[in-house]
Amino acid sequence: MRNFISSKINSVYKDTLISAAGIVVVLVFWHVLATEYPPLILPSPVETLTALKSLWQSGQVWPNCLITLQRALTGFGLAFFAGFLLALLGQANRFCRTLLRPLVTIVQIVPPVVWIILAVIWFGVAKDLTVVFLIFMVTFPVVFINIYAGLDSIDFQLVEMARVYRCSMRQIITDIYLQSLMPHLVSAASIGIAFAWKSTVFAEFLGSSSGVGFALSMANNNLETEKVFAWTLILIAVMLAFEYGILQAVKRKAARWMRHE
Amino acid sequence: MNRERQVIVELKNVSKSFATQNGRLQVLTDVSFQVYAGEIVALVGPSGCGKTTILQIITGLLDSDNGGVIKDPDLRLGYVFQEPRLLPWKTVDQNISSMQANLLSPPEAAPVRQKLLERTGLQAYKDAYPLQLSGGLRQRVELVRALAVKPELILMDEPFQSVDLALKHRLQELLLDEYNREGFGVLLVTHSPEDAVMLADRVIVLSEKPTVICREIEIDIPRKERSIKNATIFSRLAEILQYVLK
Repeated sequence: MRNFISSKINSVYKDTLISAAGIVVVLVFWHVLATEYPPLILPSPVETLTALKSLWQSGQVWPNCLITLQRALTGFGLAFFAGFLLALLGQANRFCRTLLRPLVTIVQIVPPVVWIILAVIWFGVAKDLTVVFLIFMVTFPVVFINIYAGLDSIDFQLVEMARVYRCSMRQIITDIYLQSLMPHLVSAASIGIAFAWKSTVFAEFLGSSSGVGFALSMANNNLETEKVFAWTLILIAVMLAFEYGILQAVKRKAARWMRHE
Repeated sequence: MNRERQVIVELKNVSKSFATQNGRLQVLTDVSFQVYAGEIVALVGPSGCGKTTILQIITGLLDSDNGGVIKDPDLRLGYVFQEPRLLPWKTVDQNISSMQANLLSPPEAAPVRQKLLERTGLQAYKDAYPLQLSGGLRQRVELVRALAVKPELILMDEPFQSVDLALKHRLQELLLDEYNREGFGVLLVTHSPEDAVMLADRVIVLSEKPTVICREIEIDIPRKERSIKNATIFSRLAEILQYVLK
């Protein structure tokens, strides 16, 4: 047992070292490449950090991040709710299933840029609705498909077993349906939030007057490439914090019974 | 067999058919039998003759086309499925306690569960999830869950089919230990005439589809004396085989 734990720790330590080494290699490569180009084309890591520091000191980081996060979560929440509800309908009723499947596929294959053009035409620039609409259209198919697959995977033999032991409908829903769905819900949330985050920045870049996407657009227009890099670092940091701070823990909890050891 | 005892389940002229692509398939035709309290009854018959259908009709998971099942609506049932149907996201202890919760009060359930886990050697695994257990241990949990609801009748659907010989004997020992202690009834579905004569008080032999009862055979020998070398047991086995192999 001690050997097993020690080899597991060694393996985790080794993996972390390899990941860190990969990042260091990219940073060195970036630094070397940056010496060959002017900051307008490729700012160095040091110039990027300096820009990041000045953005932080100017107080722009938190308000813009909060606006972007709020929009991403609103769009994702709506997509999750609609995806869940329509997946349930599709599973429960053959007519709804036949109606929904091709529509969801069409929504999924339309490029996001088309949705943002339509959103700007329909809702105008600088409106929250424009951004939320794009997030919804991009995220909804992902959520629908994941939850639909989850509903497909419910083992009805377990429901039969529960009925023999006189479980109530409430118990069947919480102990069997929701638990069966949990890995798919977590997967839908994980992929959906990443999609929502990227779509928000994209929509803000093209059709908003606030948020990180808009700040990126301003930096780009003013030829402040080091700020473009700095905002990109912020976007990566927020997503990593979300992935490793929340989603990984939720994924681990949802899948704790799948571990065989 | 003492016929004064209480009937806990009675099937009266039960018929059942299923819709198929080629029309309706008649599975059961006028099947009638009784199970008495504290009796082990084995249902033996060829594969697909509707043995599991009978159990599903008794539990209410399926409705019969004609006839019906007479039983106390509050009859406490345990069910051992052929393949364990455990909730993979619950531990062994939670799998058992969550099914007890609907049939026993918490102060009654906890000691029953505790004793059974100890007696069946599952105490060490009570916090394990089903996927962390071997197939044999999972089948043991399945049996313990059925026993833990203090059943008046346990329905067993080919419970020994997918386990090796050693585990089969271990599970049968566990079942008989608890049976001797608690005195519940058992309705055992099996395609093995040998299991039937070694365990049951009475064996009901079913025919091919459309299934009818073709023979009821009493096994009136104490279980301790049952062995395949025993002449009476051997003759009962031969009698069952005569119908099963027809």
